[in-house]
Amino acid sequence: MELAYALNKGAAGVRTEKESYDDSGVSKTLMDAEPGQTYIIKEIKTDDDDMNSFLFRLGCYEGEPITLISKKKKSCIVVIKDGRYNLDKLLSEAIII
Amino acid sequence: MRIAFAGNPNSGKTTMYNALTGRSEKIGNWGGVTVGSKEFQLKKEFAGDKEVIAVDLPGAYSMSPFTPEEGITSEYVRTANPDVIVNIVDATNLSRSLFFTTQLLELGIPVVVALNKTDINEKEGTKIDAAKLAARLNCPVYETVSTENKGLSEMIAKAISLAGTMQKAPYLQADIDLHDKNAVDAEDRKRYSFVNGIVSDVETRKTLSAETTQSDKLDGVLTNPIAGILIFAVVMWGVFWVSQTWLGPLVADWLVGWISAFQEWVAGQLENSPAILSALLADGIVGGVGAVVGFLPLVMVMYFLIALLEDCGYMARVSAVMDPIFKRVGLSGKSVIPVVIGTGCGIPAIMACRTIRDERERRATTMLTTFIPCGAKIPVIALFAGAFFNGAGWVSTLSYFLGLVLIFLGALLIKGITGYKYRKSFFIMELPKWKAPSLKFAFRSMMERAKAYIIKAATIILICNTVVQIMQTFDWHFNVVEEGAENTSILASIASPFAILLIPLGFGVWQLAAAAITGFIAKENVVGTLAVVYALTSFIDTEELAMTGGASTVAATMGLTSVTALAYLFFNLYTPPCFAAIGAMNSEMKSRGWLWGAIGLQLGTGYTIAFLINQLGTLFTEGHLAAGFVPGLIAVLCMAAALVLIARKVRAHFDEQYALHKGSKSVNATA
Amino acid sequence: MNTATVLGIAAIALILFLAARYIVREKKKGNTCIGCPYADSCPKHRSGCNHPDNL
Repeated sequence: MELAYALNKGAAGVRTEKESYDDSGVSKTLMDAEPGQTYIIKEIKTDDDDMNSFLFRLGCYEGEPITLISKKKKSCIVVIKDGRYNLDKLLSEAIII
Repeated sequence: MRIAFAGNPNSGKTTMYNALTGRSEKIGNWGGVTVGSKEFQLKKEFAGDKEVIAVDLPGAYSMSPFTPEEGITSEYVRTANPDVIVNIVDATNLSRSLFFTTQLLELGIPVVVALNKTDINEKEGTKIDAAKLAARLNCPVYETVSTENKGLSEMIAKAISLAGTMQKAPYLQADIDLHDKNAVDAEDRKRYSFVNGIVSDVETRKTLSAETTQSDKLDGVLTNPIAGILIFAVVMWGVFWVSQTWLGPLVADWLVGWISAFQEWVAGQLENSPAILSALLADGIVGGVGAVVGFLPLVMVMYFLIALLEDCGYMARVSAVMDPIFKRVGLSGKSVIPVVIGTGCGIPAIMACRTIRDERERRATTMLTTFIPCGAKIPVIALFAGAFFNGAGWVSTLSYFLGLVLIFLGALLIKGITGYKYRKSFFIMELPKWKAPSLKFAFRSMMERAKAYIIKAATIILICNTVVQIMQTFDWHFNVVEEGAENTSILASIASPFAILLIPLGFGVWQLAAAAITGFIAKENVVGTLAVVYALTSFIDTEELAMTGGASTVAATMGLTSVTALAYLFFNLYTPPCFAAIGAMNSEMKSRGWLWGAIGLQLGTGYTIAFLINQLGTLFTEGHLAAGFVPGLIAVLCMAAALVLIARKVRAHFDEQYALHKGSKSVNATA
Repeated sequence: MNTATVLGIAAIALILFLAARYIVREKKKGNTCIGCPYADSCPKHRSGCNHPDNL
């Protein structure tokens, strides 16, 4: 895992199926993502340990892929592992990709 | 022996539990339907000669609880020592489910994995090698489809045979300090990588779950803030229209014909008997209960449609689209689910609030969710719509949307009173896969509810009606009340003081006050009591009544105008719910202050709404204010003043608490 | 007192007795809301067996 994690980090958003580059360097949140693209989570910043560990249990943590399906002004739909979730703006802004 | 059913939310635990025990616990296609544990004996065909009890638990993602209902599950498997755990794994989301599975495997209790929803996987071309998975997890794995009873008997037979054995865990958590957050995190990470390793080994997918599909496009529309809410409004309007204006009354007309024929027959048989007997049996028992049962078709159609909605997966989308609005008033998107369940009955709605994580949001939702008219209020709505508004469909739609508006306003009020400070309130809702709703399930749940409705009418409502009839027939000296002196009856003398309070609302007569009071025992009683005190029955027969002038007879007997009728209807809808629901509120809120706040708020709201409708409505229709405007206004102002006082008190308290909290936090930080 | 009266009184007594008996039995089982249409699917309702607690 440690190795895989490091690899993912090094690849900075490169996925096997679809290539999506994140070379801006500035921290991008899910709200800045493009629908249909898969990203690698860099960091989760909810300032809420319980929420963090809840997200973790869903498979949403650093190094894991996350796919944005659609995006609205105040919410977005993502795929984490094999489940689809609706996230509100606050939460999607806390997920750095 | 006991078998516990544990797994992720919405993996189909309750569906499997129902199939194995023959029960019909509530199911729905979203996570968090089951909020308490349930247990029942397995059917003979599965258990054989043994006495096996199945325990259904709320869904959980892991052993560390995040919401209160998840805590029930981890607490149960840890402390109640079930003999076997059946871990229901959602085969469409193996990678997430196995995290919890590996934790369950560590407990030492034998585990059988039921790989559920394999039919969906087949459709999507996902293959999971069950044998390999079993080998990796070190426990038996069975492919099941609980909606079709597939694979269940083999799975449960294996589970029973495993009782008493020890489970060897394929993955054991290292010996770490559980208070050290970083160590726990690292450990959980390792566990996930172990799980990921298994998944990549046993699962082959044809369609990647990250691909955008047709259903994603649908979700896009349904969660669109404007279109989504419009669609929700149309869907709900459709449900009310079909159940209360079209199909429901169609069947009800026919049913009521039979009931009134029976009542006439009973009255005919008792022609030569004392008048009291005829009144008690024909008017009180048959008439009162019949009036309530007459509305059964409306309620049944509604239950059927709601069951379809809950089964297809739409509720999660509604919750997602409503979240921003609910959040603005200080609730969460999860508050939508109690609200929708509340259209059936307030008690499960109140209990469904458990899935809301934040305590303030949870209590506020508990407090407000009963503003949505429940199934027991449908007869009341239908009665008034039929008698005063020509059976217009807008009455019920308005009742529900006004209920929603009151929830918003109430939430704003609570937000104001509790001095709600900006707090990060995250919202995450799993969007389950769409599925065709099962007609069989909806029909079954409708029939069971109909049965319960009849039982309620034949027990509680019946006894209440008899008591009302007796109280109305006799005065305090147990003399029969003379005709023309009805005001001396026991019922009249008890209800009259309340009636005075209701004068500003336009319905200050003791009969209506009595009906409103009996409504607290069960809301159907409003209809039953009105039937008894006014000796009316064929409420629902709108078409026939319209021809014979019956609807206007009802209206004339009650002495209500359309304005006061609407005020009375809304008063009954938005005052506190029945005692059972208040009891549920009490046990869920776990706070006297909040409970009394809730009752006070509901009383105040019902009173104010009725007052406004009566006064303003009379002003518009007749050009002057209705009777009792000044005392009513004083009452409303008093309530407002009480609110302000409470708000001040709570806020002062709140600041204190907040300060204290801050203090303790900084102590922790420095320590 | 004619037959209809006697039968009527008997019917009332029987109906009330059965209703009351049902309510008492349910109360003993621990069901607070009797005949609730949602009873079976309601977490508050105990499913007729010895339940540790409905938590």
